[in-house]
Amino acid sequence: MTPLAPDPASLRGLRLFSGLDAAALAEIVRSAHTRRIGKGTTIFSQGDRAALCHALIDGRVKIVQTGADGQQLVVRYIGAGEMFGTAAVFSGGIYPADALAMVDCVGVHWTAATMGELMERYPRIALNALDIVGRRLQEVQTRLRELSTERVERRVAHALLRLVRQAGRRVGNGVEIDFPLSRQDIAEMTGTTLHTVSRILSGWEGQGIVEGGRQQVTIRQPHALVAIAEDLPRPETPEEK
Amino acid sequence: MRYGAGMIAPPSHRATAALPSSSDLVEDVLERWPSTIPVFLKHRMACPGCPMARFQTIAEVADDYGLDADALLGEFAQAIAAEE
Repeated sequence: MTPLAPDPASLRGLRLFSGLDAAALAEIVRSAHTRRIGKGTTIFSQGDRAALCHALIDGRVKIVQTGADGQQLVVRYIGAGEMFGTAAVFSGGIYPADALAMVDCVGVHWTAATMGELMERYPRIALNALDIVGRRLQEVQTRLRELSTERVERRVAHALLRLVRQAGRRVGNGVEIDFPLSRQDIAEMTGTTLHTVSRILSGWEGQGIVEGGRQQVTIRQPHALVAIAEDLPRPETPEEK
Repeated sequence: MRYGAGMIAPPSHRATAALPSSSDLVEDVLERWPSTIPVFLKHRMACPGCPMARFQTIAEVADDYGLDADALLGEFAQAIAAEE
């Protein structure tokens, strides 16, 4: 966890600070701590006192919650430009999940007291935070509906589409999810078992809809996946065996 | 927006073209010509709001829904003309 020289440009992509002028950004950077975070590092742990607001400048972080029965659920993936661990800070409590660096990352954080002072000086930051939390709440409501009403196949399709929205990349033979993703990760995102995810993905691979390496997923037929997720009439696939 | 290796860059004519073409990305068409949205909906296409819209062209989605791309482009042109 090497400290880095602060760079105002690194904050430009963060929605929390959108609409602020250069002088404000410079002050925000001066009050931040920037550091490299090695792959596999636990940035904070479920149950820890929520003392720091985090943002990711580069890399990818997994937020994982463990239930009383030991079952793990991937709450969300954090990409460059996103905040994490912040809501817990403002609810004055403890982190509700673990944050794990999936790859080598560059992160930045502020103490709860510093962030509170910044928000009082620049109310824009508080408004931005409300916007971020509001969007997250909508996502959570959508996921709750998926979990309580949808067949598991649709849930897995929706999980892949969420990842495409966040980290999709056009490649020659389709759309790739541009970070390491195991079948266990997908199971933890959709509240199902590894066995079920493997059965579903193998079926989709057989139909040519997705292609999976050990840690990589490429969607070969984007529309077919959308059709499963949205329960659209299934497209004709003449090449289907 | 950043375009990583392998991603499709926005078509260079995007800023000047008067009408959508079959090689345009669906998201670009939806953004630049919002009056085409009812056309997508009329054909029960799930494109508006779809995370795949920034990776697929009009030709590809027309094919996915079993529609003729030229006919679809014609309907887009009508919707855009009606708007202007």
